[in-house]
Amino acid sequence: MSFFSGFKRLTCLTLLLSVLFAGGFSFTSIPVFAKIANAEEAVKSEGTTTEAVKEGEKKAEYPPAPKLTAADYPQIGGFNPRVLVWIVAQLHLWFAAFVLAVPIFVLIIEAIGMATKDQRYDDMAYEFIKVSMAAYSITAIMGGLLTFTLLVFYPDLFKYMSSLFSRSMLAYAFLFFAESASLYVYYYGWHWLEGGFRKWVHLTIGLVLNFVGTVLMLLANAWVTFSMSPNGVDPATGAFLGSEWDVIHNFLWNPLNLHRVIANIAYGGSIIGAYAAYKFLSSSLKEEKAHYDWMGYTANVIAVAGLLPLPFAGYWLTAEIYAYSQQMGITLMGGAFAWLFIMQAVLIGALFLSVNYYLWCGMGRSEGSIRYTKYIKWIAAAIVGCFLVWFTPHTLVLTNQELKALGGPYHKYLGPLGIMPAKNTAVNIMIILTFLSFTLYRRANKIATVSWAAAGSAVQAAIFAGAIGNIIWLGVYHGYFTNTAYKVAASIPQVLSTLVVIVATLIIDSMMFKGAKDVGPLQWGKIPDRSQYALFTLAVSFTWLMGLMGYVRSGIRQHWHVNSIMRDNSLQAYTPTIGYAAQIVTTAAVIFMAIVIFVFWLSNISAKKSAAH
Amino acid sequence: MKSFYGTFAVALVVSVVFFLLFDAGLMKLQGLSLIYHK
Amino acid sequence: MKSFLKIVLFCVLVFGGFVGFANFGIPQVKPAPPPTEEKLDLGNMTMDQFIALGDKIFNGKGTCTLCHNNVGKRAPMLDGAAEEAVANNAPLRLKDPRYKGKATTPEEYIRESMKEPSAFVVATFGSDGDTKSPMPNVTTGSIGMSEAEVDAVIAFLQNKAGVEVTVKIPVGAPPSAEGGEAAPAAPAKTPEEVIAKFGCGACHKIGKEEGALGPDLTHIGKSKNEAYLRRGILDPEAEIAKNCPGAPCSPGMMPADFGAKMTGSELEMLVQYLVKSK
Repeated sequence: MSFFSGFKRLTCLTLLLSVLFAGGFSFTSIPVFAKIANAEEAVKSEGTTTEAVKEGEKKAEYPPAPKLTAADYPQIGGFNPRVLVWIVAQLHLWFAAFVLAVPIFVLIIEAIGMATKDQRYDDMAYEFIKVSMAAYSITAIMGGLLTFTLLVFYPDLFKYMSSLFSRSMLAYAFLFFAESASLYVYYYGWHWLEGGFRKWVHLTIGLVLNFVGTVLMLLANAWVTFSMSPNGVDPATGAFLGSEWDVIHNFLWNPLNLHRVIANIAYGGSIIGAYAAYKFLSSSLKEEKAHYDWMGYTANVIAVAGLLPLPFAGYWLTAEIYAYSQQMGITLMGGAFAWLFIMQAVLIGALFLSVNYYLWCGMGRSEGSIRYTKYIKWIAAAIVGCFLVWFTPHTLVLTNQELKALGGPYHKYLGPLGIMPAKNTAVNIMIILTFLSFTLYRRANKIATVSWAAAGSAVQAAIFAGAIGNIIWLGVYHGYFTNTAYKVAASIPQVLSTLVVIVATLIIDSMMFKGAKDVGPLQWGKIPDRSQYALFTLAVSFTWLMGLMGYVRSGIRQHWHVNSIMRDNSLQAYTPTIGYAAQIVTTAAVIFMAIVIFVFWLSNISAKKSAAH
Repeated sequence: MKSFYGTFAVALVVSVVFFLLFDAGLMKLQGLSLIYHK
Repeated sequence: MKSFLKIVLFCVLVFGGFVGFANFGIPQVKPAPPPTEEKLDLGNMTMDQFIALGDKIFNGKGTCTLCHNNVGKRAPMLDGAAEEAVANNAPLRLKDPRYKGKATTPEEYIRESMKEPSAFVVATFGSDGDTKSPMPNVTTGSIGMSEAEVDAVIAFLQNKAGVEVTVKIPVGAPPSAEGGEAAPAAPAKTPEEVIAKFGCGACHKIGKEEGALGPDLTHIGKSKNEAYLRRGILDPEAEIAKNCPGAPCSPGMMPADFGAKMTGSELEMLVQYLVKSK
């Protein structure tokens, strides 16, 4: 072993250890610092317990939340502070979602490449991370810009929040050392850390990257959810009660954490899909087209994998919002924001139709798909039907004459489709049908060789039929012939029926297609151009949907900076209409699209450079 | 083909029974019964 | 390059479709503006005005109708038909074995149900076997009603149910509502402050206020001059306006002592503001 390779090994290990140390230190520091804070308070209050402090028997050590007037909000440069912070925050979130998602599936694809020893997976994983590199610094730029705009335009709010989250904000900043170190080593060291033990080291660095990134998101989620469901502060004054863990671990923290992790995966897949679609359409070489077709397919699978459980994460988040404050929940879905969820329905419909349409177009890659093409029109019709149910509103907005003529604010026949049981039924069936499209696609190119193949398919079909029938029965009976408690409770067996279908089908498939023969080699690249537009629709709809939901999450606080604790008294404290919000979201989305084009272009020109070499 | 439809019919009955039991269990876990009563 | 432009155009069109639908395809619900602090001139209010105030709070700042409505069935109908109205049901609930609270009269029951909703949860509306109410304490948090506002809502509910209104209009609760010293020492600096300080919005639609007892003042400057408006404030009985919301205006409704309470600067500011409200 030469001195140089030994030195490389030592450097690599040192880097790895320091990354682990930095990450571990930062992560464990939060509850440790929180404990120290508690201990300090215990000492300060002369031996009284933290419980006594919370009961207000002892004078609070921290000041109350400030009560602001319009004069406390600086007016600078003619900017509308709310619009500025809104756009910057939304841009930050889009990029952050992307750069958190990419390492997740890059790690998985790299692992698949190691398991199957298929170099194409490793190459694709490397290409994914290369595309996202520029996006990291843009995420950081947006984060910095967000911090500055908050400091400049909302100084008192920032002071209050940073006094509560002081230690975790510092940990957040220090964690970026770990994030950058692990990212740069993971990317730049991709071909250096090749083969055998080094590849395992590389994979570990990818794991650390994911871990650090997730912690960063969890910390930021704490700030956001605190402003919706504050905890760890005196409810009357907003004064900090001493435990930073309490302010972090508020009611909506974990529901948002789960929702964002799953949504990030789906979103990241959709952006990569858009990249692959663009490269597919702009290349003329057959091998290149085949490569980007495969990339687009993989990205779509990732998006589908995230999309299937996502409605349930969202449902759980909303259920927790209702549980925390029935007022907030009703404002969200039954009050001022109700029509926004019709808009959401349109977008989700667009998402599901796009992924399905892309799968159906992709069936053409295999000759064996001809046996399944006759089912596609039925699946399509059913998905459209489900979408229409999903999209039907409950209360109609009518003039007085129309109200009199109709005899109430609901349509006689379509009105009942506007309530949750109908929506749950529709979305569960949409998910099952999407999974069906995916199942048919996967088996299109295979010929099962086991003797019980026909029976196996029959059992699968029966499970599909049984589950769909079950979901419909649960929705109709419990939704319309029982009371609220049954109505809400019935959504659980509906969701789990969908899960049963997915799990059972995957298990039976894995047994049924063991040793299966291929109909022929999959003809990557043989897909109509319009399928790529489905991938663009996916990315665009997803982006816009995130923007809309960002508006809802912020808007539901209405005229509060921190719900019921710190009032927003700025000139822009009013809650805007959905039309206005849509205009802001679209403006931000167009800016996002322009920056993404720039990011893709950058990875393009660096590719040209290495090709030239 | 015959074996497909035959198997399908039997499997369908089994899955319906399974799902009814499944529903009853999940509703019971939430303190409710399968069929509504006040 | 051509395919790049096609793709960009496609994406822009999709965005356009979404923003277009959001602006033209669905109704533009305008959420209520942030609530402003209202100074109530309780010393000079009649019971009818107090009940009207309660109505305004019930349908506005109190956000009661968000949950207490016929749509979602998430909370009992408080102001509905006789058998539903809380003022009628209160005596029965006080006798209910599940009642855990300390109230002895219907008025106390209603007050307690606003501040400690879990003292009694009407069947099927609560969690944990109807022992926990999803309703918040209305005097804290994001609703933040004052004691006087709570009383006004109780008066409104009792009146709506057709029972005797037992609530007394609170006096002396805010020190500024005493006798002739209705206002804090320093005079108001803006017309909006004057309006808030003297409670014009309890009866009149003016500025951001939505009072519905007296004439709508938002465009009064179009038809009335300075002299009329000044007299209307200082000596309301001199000429009663013809049109009040819902019924002709009655004498004796508007307080007659603003002349004694307002400073000269406050009066002039208000008059100029009204003259400009065209």
